[in-house]
Amino acid sequence: MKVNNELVVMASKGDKNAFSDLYYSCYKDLYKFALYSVGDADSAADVVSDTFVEIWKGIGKLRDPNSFCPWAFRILSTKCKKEISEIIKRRGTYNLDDLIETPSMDLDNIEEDIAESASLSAALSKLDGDERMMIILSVLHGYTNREIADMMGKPQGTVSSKLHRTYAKLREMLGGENNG
Amino acid sequence: MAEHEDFSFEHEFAEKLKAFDENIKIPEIPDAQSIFDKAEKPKTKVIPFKKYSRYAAAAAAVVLIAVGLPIMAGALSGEIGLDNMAAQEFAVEEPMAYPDAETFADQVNDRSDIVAEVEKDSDGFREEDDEPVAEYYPSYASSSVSEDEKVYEPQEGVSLKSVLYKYFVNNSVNNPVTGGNGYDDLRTVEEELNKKRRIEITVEEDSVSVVLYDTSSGDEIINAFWVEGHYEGSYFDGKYYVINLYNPVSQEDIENDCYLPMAGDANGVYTIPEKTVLIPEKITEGAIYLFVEVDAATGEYNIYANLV
Repeated sequence: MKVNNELVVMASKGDKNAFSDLYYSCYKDLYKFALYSVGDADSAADVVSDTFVEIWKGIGKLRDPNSFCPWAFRILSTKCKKEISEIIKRRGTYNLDDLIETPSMDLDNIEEDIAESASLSAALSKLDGDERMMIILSVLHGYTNREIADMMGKPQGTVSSKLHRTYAKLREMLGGENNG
Repeated sequence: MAEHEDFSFEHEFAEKLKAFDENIKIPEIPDAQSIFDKAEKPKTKVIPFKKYSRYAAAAAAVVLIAVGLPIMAGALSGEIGLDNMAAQEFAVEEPMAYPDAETFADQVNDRSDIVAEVEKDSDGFREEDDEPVAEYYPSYASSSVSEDEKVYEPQEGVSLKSVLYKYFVNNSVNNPVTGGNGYDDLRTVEEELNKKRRIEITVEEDSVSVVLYDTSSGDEIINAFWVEGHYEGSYFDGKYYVINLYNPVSQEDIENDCYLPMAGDANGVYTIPEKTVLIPEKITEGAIYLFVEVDAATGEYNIYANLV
């Protein structure tokens, strides 16, 4: 996720227009992260909305505009964790069905793509919340283990260890098709 | 070979996930004004039921004692019912005369105090929840990291020593993470992992000793080892006990070829192999972070290391 630091600075001074621009530019990335985490489109939208409310309330205290993204992800991941436990309470379990609502645009390979999306989605849904968040932050957002550790309030070694084991799990779940 | 397979799987997985991610449908973004409206909406304070229920339970207990004891007393003395004057007095006065009951009654009767306390707690929680996140990154150096920077490079063609040396020469730093963190105290952490296993970690200056006991067969030692590094913390996830350590490196250490942490067990002392240390593009601290996974079932352990 890339943000314009000037917008962050202006928003931190209470500029609503700057905050609105920041909101529209970040929404997509934060929404996707929430969707991967909670596995439900409506819940993801609610969590992101609540996160932006917190961001708006707290942005005045943010001293370094470079820290905006990790800070936003930290708020979001905390809210996602709460939401996941609520979802599990409601449904007894949760899955990532919402992730595979949209098939690939490549019509020639649509069946293959849908099958691959389904297996990826199934594999992701078998990870626990922390594991999924770490994978998304690492793979899709390019954060280092250290940055992820800061965002999630965990020791760096814990993140390294969890990521290592998460890859091992994914490999076990997806390994067949990758090798084959 | 296995490392290469891991790396290629991670790469392949990353490519698939990125392709998958591009196809995720994004709903219409709600108007930004909704955020401002929500932020300006006054907070409704929620009284945590769990806390409130404790007082309710205490109140119920007082009522039960107040009503139940005289009935029982009446029954025992053959004068059943609250018509009896003595029993009525007992019902009103006796529970209040009992110091604990009085404390409970005071707490329950003074509802306004409870609500105020709960609201105070609720406010405290909000403050904790909201504020530190804003101040958490006052001096965060960089928020966006390039793809190349993220990926740990395999060590082919580049030595750990040369990378570290370059870091120290370019940054004119020396021992950036050492000094005065109170790690010198000898301390032992003991933890029951489950009914069968107990772990003991002894922290002494810059090394950590680990002993895993089998408690079900009379404290038989399954495995014992030590690792050089400052203890950061540890946790058990149900299968593995993970110990986090770091080992600061200075330019002097590199010049003396003493920058790789050591470890030892019943098989002797050995240096962490250089090829196992993952090297990022950018070093920010000049420290090798280690995490040790101990399998609670078998006692087998693995040491992983990252240069930071």
